[in-house]
Amino acid sequence: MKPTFFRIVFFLFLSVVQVSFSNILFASLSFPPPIVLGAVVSLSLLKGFSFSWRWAVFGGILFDSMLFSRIGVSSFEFVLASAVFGMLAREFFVGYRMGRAIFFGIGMWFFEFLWRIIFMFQSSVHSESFFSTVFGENFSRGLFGSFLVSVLVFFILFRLTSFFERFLEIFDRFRPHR
Amino acid sequence: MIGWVGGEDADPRLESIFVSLSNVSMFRFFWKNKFGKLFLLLAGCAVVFAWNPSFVSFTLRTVIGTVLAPLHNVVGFFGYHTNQTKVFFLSVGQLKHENERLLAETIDLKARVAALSDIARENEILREDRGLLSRDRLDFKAAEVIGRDSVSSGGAILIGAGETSGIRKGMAVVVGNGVLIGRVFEVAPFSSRVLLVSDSESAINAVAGSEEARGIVRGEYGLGLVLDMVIQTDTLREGDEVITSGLGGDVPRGLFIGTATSVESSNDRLFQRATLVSPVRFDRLRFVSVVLDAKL
Repeated sequence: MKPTFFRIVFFLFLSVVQVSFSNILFASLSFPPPIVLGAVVSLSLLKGFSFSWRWAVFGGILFDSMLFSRIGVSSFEFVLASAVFGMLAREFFVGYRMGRAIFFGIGMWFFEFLWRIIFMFQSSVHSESFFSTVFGENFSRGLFGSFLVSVLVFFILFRLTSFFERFLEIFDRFRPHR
Repeated sequence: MIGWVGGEDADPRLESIFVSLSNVSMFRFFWKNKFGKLFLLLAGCAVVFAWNPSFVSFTLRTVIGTVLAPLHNVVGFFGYHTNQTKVFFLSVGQLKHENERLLAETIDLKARVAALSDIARENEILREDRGLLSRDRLDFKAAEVIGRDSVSSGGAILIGAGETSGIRKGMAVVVGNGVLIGRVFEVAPFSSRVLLVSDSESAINAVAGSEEARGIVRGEYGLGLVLDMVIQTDTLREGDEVITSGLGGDVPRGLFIGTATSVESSNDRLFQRATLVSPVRFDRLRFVSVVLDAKL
């Protein structure tokens, strides 16, 4: 119960940080670093998809509720990311090391970038604008900055998540049934 | 198994139970498989998105918004001040030129304010003579920006005031003494979502210049504003000031939106359109006011 409670608090905190801190601080970039997505990907790399999917769903519901969006969009994105990165880590990166967090940070940024392109396509269809116009207007400023900040934030977030998970393992060790 | 309970004399209730059981076992079969699980989860998310249960989403927003409101305020405060510090360091080199430009603009504005206050006095006297209510009677509710949505096409902000402060969906949101920045899009008890005028989904009825050219102000995916759908017979010039027309919704007339630049014809030559320059930086908003009641 306690690890679950701490993880809920962890995700609540990260969602607030993304909505009220990161999105304000990095508003001038193409898109701010996706913190909740980063936490889901980190959890997926550390513990696998079979563990991280429920936190992807929870994080998505939390994030959508906070932004008054339709529930389900972020959960869909997070579950997909969790599966992709969980499988990638298991297939290609057995014996995971911290330095590889940068590689996954780049991967996560590309994932978010592609996700936003899908949104843009939908938006351009909806508003009857040319996709190229929408694409250019959205990504004409701060794309490289967004890339750098996202990779850096993911690196920090991965360290934080792995430290947090090690801390939570203490509770598992001292469970009475073990 | 279904075939076993089927037949002419089979009990339909029993049959439905077996069908459900077989569905459960099919679900388990999928769930045990890695890709099956992924498929089920994604399908579940898609179903929830399509279904969009308003009761569930409203309850979640209310609970999460109420519990996390203080944390949003604190984190938002740090976010804003960190952003200000970042902006300060990045713009040190431009400060001298900016200062000179603002000084020149201040002198110009002082002259305009003096002229306008004379006209305003005259207008008040005329309105009194005709028995009309005074125009500048806007009832504001100040609110702090506690968050920002970066996913929407152009921007939406979260403000720390909601239903309990008398805010309703559709109300105009301004900064300063009446520069329109958006409209309230969703309301929770202690917070609201404001769709900025720079969002591509935003459309505000507006008039431009002394000739009152009518059109629609739309957002350009967070980068700027456009006055669109102005008919060719209306006079639209560069430098015209664009204000809200007061038509439709809770947006009162006379809120400043921006100044028109680069007027051109639309692709089909039916309408004119102009790019607008807003005096507001939408990525640096801190305090806003919601127009609660416009007594016009």
